[in-house]
Amino acid sequence: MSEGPGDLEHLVDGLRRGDDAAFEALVRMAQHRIFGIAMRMLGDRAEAEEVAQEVFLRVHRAAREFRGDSKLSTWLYAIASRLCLARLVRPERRARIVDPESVPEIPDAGADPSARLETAELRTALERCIQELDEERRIVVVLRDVHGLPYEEIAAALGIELGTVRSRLHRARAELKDRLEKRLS
Amino acid sequence: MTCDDVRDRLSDRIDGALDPAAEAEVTSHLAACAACQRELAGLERTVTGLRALGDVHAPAGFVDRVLARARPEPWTHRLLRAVFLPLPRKLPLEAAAVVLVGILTVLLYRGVPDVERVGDQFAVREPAAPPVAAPVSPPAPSTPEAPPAKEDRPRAAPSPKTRLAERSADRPRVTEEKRASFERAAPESPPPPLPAPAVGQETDTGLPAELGKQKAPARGRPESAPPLMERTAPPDVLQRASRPDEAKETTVLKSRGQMRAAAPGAMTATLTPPLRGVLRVGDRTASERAMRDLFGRLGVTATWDRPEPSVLTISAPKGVLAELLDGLRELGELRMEPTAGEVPDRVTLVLRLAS
Repeated sequence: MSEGPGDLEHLVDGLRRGDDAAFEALVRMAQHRIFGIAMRMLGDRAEAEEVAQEVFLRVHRAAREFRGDSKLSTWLYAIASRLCLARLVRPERRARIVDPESVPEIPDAGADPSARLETAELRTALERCIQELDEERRIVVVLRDVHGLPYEEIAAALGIELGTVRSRLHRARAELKDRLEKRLS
Repeated sequence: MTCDDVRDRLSDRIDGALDPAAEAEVTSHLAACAACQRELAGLERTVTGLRALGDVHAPAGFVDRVLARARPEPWTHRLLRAVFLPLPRKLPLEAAAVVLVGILTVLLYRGVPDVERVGDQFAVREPAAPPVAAPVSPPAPSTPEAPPAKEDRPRAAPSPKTRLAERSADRPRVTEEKRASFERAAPESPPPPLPAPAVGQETDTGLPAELGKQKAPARGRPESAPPLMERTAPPDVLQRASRPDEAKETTVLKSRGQMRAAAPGAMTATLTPPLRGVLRVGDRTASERAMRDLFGRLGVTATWDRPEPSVLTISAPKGVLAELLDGLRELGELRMEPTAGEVPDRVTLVLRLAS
């Protein structure tokens, strides 16, 4: 999706009033972003949809009490992150490998078939490496590098210090680089 | 700045998050260190790949499903869900509730219609009641269940319409009389539980005496005997019945239901814990004969437990209890179980004969 995090903020007033149109607009604008986070965190489409639906339902139920201390997008990311992390720590849940079929096609990598193949290979390898990360590092790298959130918003969404965000991100990137090099070598 | 220091800052450098001084130091180190350059290149390639991944598209219909779940559910659906789901929990509860309602219905059916059926019997059988019963059946308050005087009643069989009208007219009166009987008979405190029936004795079904008699008529009694009078009149009236040959015979009843219907006093007795005792006698036959004479003389009612002839239930007025016990002691060795509480107006004595 093309909308940035700030695009959601104009919906806040409508959501507080219980406006159904505002809620529908929020779901349409943020569905892929929230589903993408859940998909990369959980690695299972059905489970990701379940969590993504729950994120929007919680927003719908609590929108009237939203005080606006943080951005609406931060609130969405916070709910999504916590739901995903809570589900990951369930004892019955096993680590799952992301389904490559579920990942969208890479934007045109040029006419060169070898370049396109290399890009697809890199993409699949990256998805698998993300799944192998520790959950706390995974959520940071997904929010920062995949979804482009600033450090401050990640810290607010996860309820951690800015320095913690930086250190987790640094370790996550370094681990991903090492894993990726092993896979592609 | 060492290689480790630089590598710790490479992630921040990629994001442009280093302050100018740190940025200058890292840049200076990278210019001279090929290993750190390779490290930075690997990180940049990884981050570039991550940023290129983009969103994963939500499944088709995702928005509709979310909106459907967020929409307020109609009250009918919520009610159905509340009643029937989750099935594993609610199904057994609902089944138990159905069974409970069934049990309560049966209990109510067995309890309440009892009064109405008594009224039905009076209404239907009044014309056939023996004429001798009328003079000896005073409309005194002591015999609330006794039917009123019947001389004015038509002798011919009433038409169904008339019978229906009679039933309607009689029901409230009988119900009120029965209620008055209960009010007089019941003590101020709640009555104690009914005594358990003896082994082999017919279970108390709660049905009126008429039904019990229809199932098993009293032994040794002709079918033409006036049953209504026996059921409703108190024992003293029975004594003065028009059958002198049976006036001194102990009344034999088959069940507690019959005892209850026989007289209000008997009903009171069944609500009071009976006295219990054992009478050891030498000659069983002679003792039984003597007991019959004693019961007849004192005007008490005795029930011989047919399946177990050694047990008999005696219903006696409070005034003759002492005389009754003295008479029994003359027949053999009488041992009474100790009892507590006040002796009611009519006493029930369960006596076991032993040799």
